[in-house]
Amino acid sequence: MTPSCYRKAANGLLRYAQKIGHPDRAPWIRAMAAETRSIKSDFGALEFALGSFIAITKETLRMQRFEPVVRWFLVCSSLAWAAGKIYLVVALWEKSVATPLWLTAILALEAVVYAASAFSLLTKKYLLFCVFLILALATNSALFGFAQFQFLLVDFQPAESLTWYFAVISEEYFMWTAMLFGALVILALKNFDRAKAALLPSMS
Amino acid sequence: MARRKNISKQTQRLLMALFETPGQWWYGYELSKLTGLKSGTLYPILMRLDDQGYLASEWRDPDLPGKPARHVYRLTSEGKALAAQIETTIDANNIGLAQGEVTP
Repeated sequence: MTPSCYRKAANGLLRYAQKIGHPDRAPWIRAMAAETRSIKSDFGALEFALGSFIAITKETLRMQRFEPVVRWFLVCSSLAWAAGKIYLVVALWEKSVATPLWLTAILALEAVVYAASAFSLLTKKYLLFCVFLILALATNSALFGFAQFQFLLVDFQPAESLTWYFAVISEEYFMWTAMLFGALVILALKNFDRAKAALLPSMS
Repeated sequence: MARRKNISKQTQRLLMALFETPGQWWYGYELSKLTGLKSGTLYPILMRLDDQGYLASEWRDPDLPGKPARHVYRLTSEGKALAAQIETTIDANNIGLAQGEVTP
């Protein structure tokens, strides 16, 4: 006897639930699948599977609520910084402000680094995100250092927008710290169970 | 006075259904039919009660070969105590309604 399309859909839904479901709820998904198989009516099985799928989706979202909130906050922060850098480069270019090439280059590089860090977060590569943040920190430190050097030795007079930029650059360090901390929190949360099992086998 | 737990009507219905048959193990689908709760409502409640220690669950071997093992559920002693407490509250409310108490 071949399974009807209802039965196939029910099985497909529960297979998908197994993929997306939170690992802690895996036995429950197996239990739901077993119950669905025990239902004689194909349509009844589909109805039961649909409800089970909704339950697992809701449960998974509830259990992972912390991660997406922090992740999206970090994505938005990174994109905001990237946009800020791009805006500054374009503004300097359009206003034909006398800006050293190295400064424009570092600003552009920073925009790329921030955009890349946002992308790494979207793909849930938290370690890569930390690497990008450290890279952004390095480029900004270089920018800050070179700028100070330029002010002192070459008597470089920055435009108003640049003065503003150098004023907020220290704020950016706080932002990095917050972003790095957020990424590390996510990494710690994601690996908490594994770390606990490795460090404290008797408790897990 | 102890703070009253905020328990939904669906959870109360499930607890009462399980409380009426203490010691009996129930399959999820049977519980769904018994309480009239859809699986989308029933399973989150079962998971929550299980997490909180009010529900015991175990795998039961299938009656027929080739079928998967199924999960069965029943109340723990804590679950029975909670259900008894809810039953008392429901009875008290029913008496109050019967005597014409007006609730806001």
